[in-house]
Amino acid sequence: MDAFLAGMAILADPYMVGIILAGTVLGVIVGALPGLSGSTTAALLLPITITMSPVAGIAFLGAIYCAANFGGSITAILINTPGDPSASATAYDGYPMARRGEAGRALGMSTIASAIGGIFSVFVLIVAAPLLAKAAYSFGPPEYFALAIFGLSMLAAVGSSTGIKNLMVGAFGVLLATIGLDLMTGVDRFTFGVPELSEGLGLVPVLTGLFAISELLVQAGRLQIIPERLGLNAMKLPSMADYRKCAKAIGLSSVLGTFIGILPALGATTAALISYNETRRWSKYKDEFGKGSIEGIAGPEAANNAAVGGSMVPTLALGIPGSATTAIILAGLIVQGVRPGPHLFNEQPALLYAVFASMLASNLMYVVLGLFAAKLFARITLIPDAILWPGVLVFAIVGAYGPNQSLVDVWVMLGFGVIGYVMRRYGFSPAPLVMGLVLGTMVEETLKQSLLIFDHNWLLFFTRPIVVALFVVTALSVCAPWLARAIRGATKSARLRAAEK
Amino acid sequence: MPAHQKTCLALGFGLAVLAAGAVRAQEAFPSKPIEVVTHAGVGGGTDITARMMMVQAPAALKTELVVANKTGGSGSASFGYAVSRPKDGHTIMLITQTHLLTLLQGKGGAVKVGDLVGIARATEDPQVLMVGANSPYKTAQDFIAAAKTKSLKFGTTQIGSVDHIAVVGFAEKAGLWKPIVVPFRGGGDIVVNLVGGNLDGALLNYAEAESQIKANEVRALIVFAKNKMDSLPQTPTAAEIGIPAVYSTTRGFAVLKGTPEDRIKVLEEGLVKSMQGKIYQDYLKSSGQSAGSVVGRADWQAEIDEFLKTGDAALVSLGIKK
Amino acid sequence: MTTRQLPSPTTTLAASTTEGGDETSTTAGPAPGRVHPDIVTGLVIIALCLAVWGVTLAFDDVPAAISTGMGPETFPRLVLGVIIALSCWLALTASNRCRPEIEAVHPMIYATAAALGGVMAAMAVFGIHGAVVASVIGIGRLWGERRLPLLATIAVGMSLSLHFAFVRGFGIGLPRGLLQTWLS
Repeated sequence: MDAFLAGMAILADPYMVGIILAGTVLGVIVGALPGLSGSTTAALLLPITITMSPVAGIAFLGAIYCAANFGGSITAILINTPGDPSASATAYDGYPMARRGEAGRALGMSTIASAIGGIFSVFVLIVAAPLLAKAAYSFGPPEYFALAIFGLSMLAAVGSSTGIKNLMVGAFGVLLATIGLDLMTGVDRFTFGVPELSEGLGLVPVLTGLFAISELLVQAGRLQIIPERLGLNAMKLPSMADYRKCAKAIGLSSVLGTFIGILPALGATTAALISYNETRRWSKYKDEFGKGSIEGIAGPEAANNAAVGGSMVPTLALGIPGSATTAIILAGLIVQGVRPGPHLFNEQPALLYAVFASMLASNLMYVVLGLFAAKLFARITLIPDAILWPGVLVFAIVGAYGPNQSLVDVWVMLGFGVIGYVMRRYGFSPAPLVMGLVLGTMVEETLKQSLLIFDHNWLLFFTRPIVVALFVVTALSVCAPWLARAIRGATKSARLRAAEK
Repeated sequence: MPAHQKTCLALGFGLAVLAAGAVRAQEAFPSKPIEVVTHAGVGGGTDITARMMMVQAPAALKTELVVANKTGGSGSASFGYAVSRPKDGHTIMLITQTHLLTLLQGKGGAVKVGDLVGIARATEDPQVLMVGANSPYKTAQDFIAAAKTKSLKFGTTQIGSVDHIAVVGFAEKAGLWKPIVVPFRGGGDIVVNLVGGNLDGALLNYAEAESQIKANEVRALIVFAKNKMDSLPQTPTAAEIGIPAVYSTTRGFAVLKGTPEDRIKVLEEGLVKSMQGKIYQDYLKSSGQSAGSVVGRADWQAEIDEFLKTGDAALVSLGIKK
Repeated sequence: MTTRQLPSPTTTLAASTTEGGDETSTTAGPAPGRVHPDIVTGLVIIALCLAVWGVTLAFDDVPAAISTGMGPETFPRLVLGVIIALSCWLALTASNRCRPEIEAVHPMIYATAAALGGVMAAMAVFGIHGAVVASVIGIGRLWGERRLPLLATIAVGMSLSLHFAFVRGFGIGLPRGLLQTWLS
């Protein structure tokens, strides 16, 4: 408890508050800019943090990490361009809301849901990190394979077209994930001699193309349609009714996001995508999804920020980073002479609690920033299309080029812009493609790893309890619509029979 | 003033002018920021090494440094970029053994084996054979005895990567059964699977499993270095148990052949000096790498040549290189 | 599920993404004289999959010493098989679904796609600043914004802020054109 108070005491130090505020503001900005992600920024600023004290340095990186995950949703909602891959699920419903003139409502909900998810996961981190971290060890390739299959089984539900088309798009995403050097054999696949492709397609260029560039093309066809000016409502924040409606989505996704974040091989992007599906599944208003459902923003945003705290669990307790950004935070800790591991919780609790305090503070700071800025940012939707979209194109180019400094990525982005446009034209939603691309690599690699571990004996999958449990959940969720109908049918006929008597 | 003193003075003055001229000629390099080309994305291990070196480099080299991340093709994209820049010393590469393997497979584009000139080594991190705490193999001898009766499962990174080649080389030198290689994306995944009992063993760097070793979840059995590691005083080296094998993860700076000799010298001095600075040394120490990682051009070049030789043989025996 | 005759809400939604979605398009059953677009889509996708299958035939061989059972081509072919099966299903069940009204591609979309190529060309020569000018002024005018001074101001402002934020601020390079490479 003393250590807890000592840690929280850093929030009384103006210098520390200044550092955390700087990290938060910077994080929101780089999160929103498509070319810069939290991990890139953390890597670029890592050398600077070395000159700070360990607590200040780590607090700074932690604040960037928390805030950047929220920042990504701003551009996803306003211009259909996820500033960070983890915000891609937010664009599914956020952008339709913004088009409808409800940008403020969408941004406000994203802010609140992000903060709740983030704060929840930090508390989980404080209370149970060493305990939960051990769960990571029981997840080997077979378990990840079962989890990825569970994720993919949701494909039929994501997005806004018929189930079969969604499955096709999802499978296309899985196919795209096989581009590049095959981990298992070192053979180049579908790279056509382009070395930049051997690392696989970058998530950022594909997402930017599918969402932003395809939308640019769609907008090009609508220029003659004078849009209704719904701008009057653009600055309005969510109402109490909105929060009540989303409470369940936020709660569910916070838990789910934290858990997925704890698993080292899964990150905020997967957390957001799976939570989007689950939010939809448990929602009373399923039909609104894909058309601007406010729950469709609350779910993924709570989840991707919950994954932040979650991924700090294995980082701090096991020294195994759960995401690109935590890998850099880990490097930052090590350089400062802080050795992560279970012993950290006994040896340097004050430092740990200082990190937790800074993450909490950052989550609270961006609520204030986000709600103020939501009104300001929402005005972006009022910019005329002929000025807004060319600007989006420039940001999309910079965003695709930035991370790997590669023109190939820019071409990939434009290519997927055209592919996304064609898909939408023929009634295929691009959303499941993201899921397939994110989980495809994992399905293939964990399947092959499992078979090597099992000496090619498939049946051994069923000797692992977690795998069996996940397979059962998958089977149940796939069959749920039929089961529900069968049960409803059975009770109805039973009632009829009872009535006849 | 006697005449000879005058001549002396004139001579001295002349020499001073000459020296100043020579200095000026050297000061002309570097005349603009130096670009450090790496194959790692922003935040990768090699990228972080570059950025740690760069903290104190501007003082030593008297110019700014910038990192160019050219990911792709296991280093071939970075070769492609480096070869497109003028060979004036303003472009240096941070290379790993991965680059050398890429060269050996003829995937370096315009860059061929022998085109790399080493400047200075930056890190040297020995590989350590590790097993999970629940593994039945308590000592190196247990492990080797078991591996001589059946194929054991080893976690490595990508097929054809440095640690894959090290596993195969170790198995060959120790006379083990052909290992079953299970590739993973990174060291963290391998550690999790060692503890989880999915793998029999793996070659890892000490820092990758440090917290598990301290928590008695992972056991280190053999260190593949010339000398024992300070952090693992109990663990024997491979040579001590009769296997002459040394494997390490090595990174160092290099330029392409054709860069002027005097500029290589300036770079060597500047880089070595900045890597002997406190910030870089702290980084080495805290990431479990020895302070002796930093060596100059001669030693680094010898190591590159040696690796090219052994790597070539390994690639041929694996059938990756025809 | 596939035999449901009523237009499901998701199907009308799919149509509405292309600004259709009005009641005129929701007549179920085959209309005489026209092929259901889903049949065409399914067949095109099957053809593409077969082409990609052809590419998998050209993958490098894996040396016997490192082969681990499943070759590099197995998984992609499995996925291709799934897509082909789904495409067949899509084509065969097409008549059960309502026919979405697909509008003709607006000429402005072709013009904009061509302009994207123009932006890339400008970037190849003049770097990111060329792309900014080509995009903001070029596409802006194409889309009917007539206030040239406004567009020019935005272009210059954007160029400068990109340079200061990315190149100066974070030390991340932006695309350099041939001109910049020659000049340096």
